[in-house]
Amino acid sequence: MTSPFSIPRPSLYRVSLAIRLLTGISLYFAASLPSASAEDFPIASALIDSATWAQPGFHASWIPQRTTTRIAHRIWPRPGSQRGAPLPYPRIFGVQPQVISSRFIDGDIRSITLLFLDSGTHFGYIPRGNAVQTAKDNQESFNKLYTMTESAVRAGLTQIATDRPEKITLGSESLLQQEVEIFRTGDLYARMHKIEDQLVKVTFFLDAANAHSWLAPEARDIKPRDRAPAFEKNVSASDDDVLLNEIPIFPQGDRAYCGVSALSMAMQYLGLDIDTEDYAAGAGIRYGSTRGSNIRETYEAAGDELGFDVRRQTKFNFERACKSIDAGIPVLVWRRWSQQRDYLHTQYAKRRAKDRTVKLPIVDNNERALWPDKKAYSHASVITGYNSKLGEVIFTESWGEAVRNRRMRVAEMEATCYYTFYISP
Amino acid sequence: MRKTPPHPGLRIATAFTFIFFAGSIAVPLLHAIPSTFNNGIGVPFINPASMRLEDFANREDMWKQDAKLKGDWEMWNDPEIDDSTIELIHLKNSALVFGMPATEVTLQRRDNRPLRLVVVFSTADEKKPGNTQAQLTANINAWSGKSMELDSGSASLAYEQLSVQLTKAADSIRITLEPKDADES
Repeated sequence: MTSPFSIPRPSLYRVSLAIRLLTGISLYFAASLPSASAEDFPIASALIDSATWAQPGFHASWIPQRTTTRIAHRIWPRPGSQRGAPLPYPRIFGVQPQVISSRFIDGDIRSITLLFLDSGTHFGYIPRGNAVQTAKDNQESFNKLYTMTESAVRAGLTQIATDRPEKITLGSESLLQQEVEIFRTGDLYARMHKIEDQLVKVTFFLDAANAHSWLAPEARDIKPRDRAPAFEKNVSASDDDVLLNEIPIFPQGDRAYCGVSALSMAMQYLGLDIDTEDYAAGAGIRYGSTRGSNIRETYEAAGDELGFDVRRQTKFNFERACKSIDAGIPVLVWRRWSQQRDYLHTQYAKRRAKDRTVKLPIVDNNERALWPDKKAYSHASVITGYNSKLGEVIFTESWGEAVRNRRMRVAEMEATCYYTFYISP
Repeated sequence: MRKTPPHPGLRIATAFTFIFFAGSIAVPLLHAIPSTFNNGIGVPFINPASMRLEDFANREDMWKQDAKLKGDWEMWNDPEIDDSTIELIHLKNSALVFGMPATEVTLQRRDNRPLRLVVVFSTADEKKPGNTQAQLTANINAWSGKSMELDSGSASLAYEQLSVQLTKAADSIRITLEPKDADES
């Protein structure tokens, strides 16, 4: 197996790049890297040379490897993860990234993102009641952290860039508009996102067109209606289950991001390449809390950005959801959630994967009394299938592959869902 | 024609009506923003043990002599246990068992061999009477794929390695997990 550190077979272009860049980059990073090990992200080559991305060893290092979707979100494991004692990532541009992730499409790496500072990742989940105090206590120090991070990352990018950065505006919808800078680094394009007191991240792309747009290549210059047949192809049916298995999963982690992660999962599948953190920033999720945020409006903005219609209803309509799934388009729901009920849905889905004869509890008054009510947590899920014969809704969470295609009775979804977002081309 | 200014009382009433209606619209919206965090994180037993307590209990090696226990345990005393050959230990980590927060988890051992796990769920602060028992029953059924029938506040079920018994007390529900082939009282 090729090591991520092995040098690719050089072309004349790469030799030229190496002479101009590698010495300087190595010197720059040498001061900030504690020690190189087989687990370290190969900074010196992966941020300037697309050939590194294609190396089998590099390719195989991202986790989870077992994903079945065309679009897959993977992360670079932290050093020590295999021994069960993960350490922080080595510094890049003098800053420890919070997460190093990549987006695979059809098995190839299409982009790599260094998330340097995301407010949600920094603060974790902050309950609504603590939101004001958390913001008050941390505003000044977080602002300093943002300024330092932004400045260090910019300086690092400038050092490896072969040209001046290009300033562009991504997006047309006000909630999703971002002023970004695109740096040419070797044969890659590095897009730097910076939103004050919220976000600093850099995404590396293989080509200029992807770096310059929120839209995936297949969604550019094509009317949404003309793309409908492509979505229908993603629908599969077996044992009375109708499933949409191509929805990528973007784990929200310990962040109050269920609403924006669910949106990102649905929208990236449909062709809008906006990350969870960008939606969080657009929606105004600050200091780890959703208090006062505009997530609902962000859903509508994402639809407009992609040229799709996002209709919000206060009730869950099973027939309409089925039609959407039949058309290969997921449905988003905001619903009441409880840990106790969640356990049942998880266990039932696990068991049913092994034994098709098991059934969810029959809906009666005793059963209804166990469903989460208006005092329960609010949660967002993606509807990814249905089973009309059993009267079950199949849904997926932004927690990881283990919670793909969980199930609940239609009556429970109807009773616990307070917003349904139907998307149509 | 000169307009007569509205009576101050009418203005106050109008203002209150407006505040009432604006508030009744705004309050549900404030609560409607979804913001759960990752399921599993914040479930303390799972993190040190990498599995749920009931899944841990369902492993054969859990019940072997000198079994290495997952989680953090301490010596415990229960005046109701008068058998001096039984050693009682208590789980220091908080734990969700069958999807519900346990009030207390203890393990009885004899000669360093685990005999039974006892999980207690308090029902003293239950908002809807009977809900804890009903949810536990539903969750045990979902976990095992079998149906646990209640009979005057007590129920049992045998599943893989385990015998699961649910008993109802005045202000608690007690679940006892022990190996199916246990021959000791």
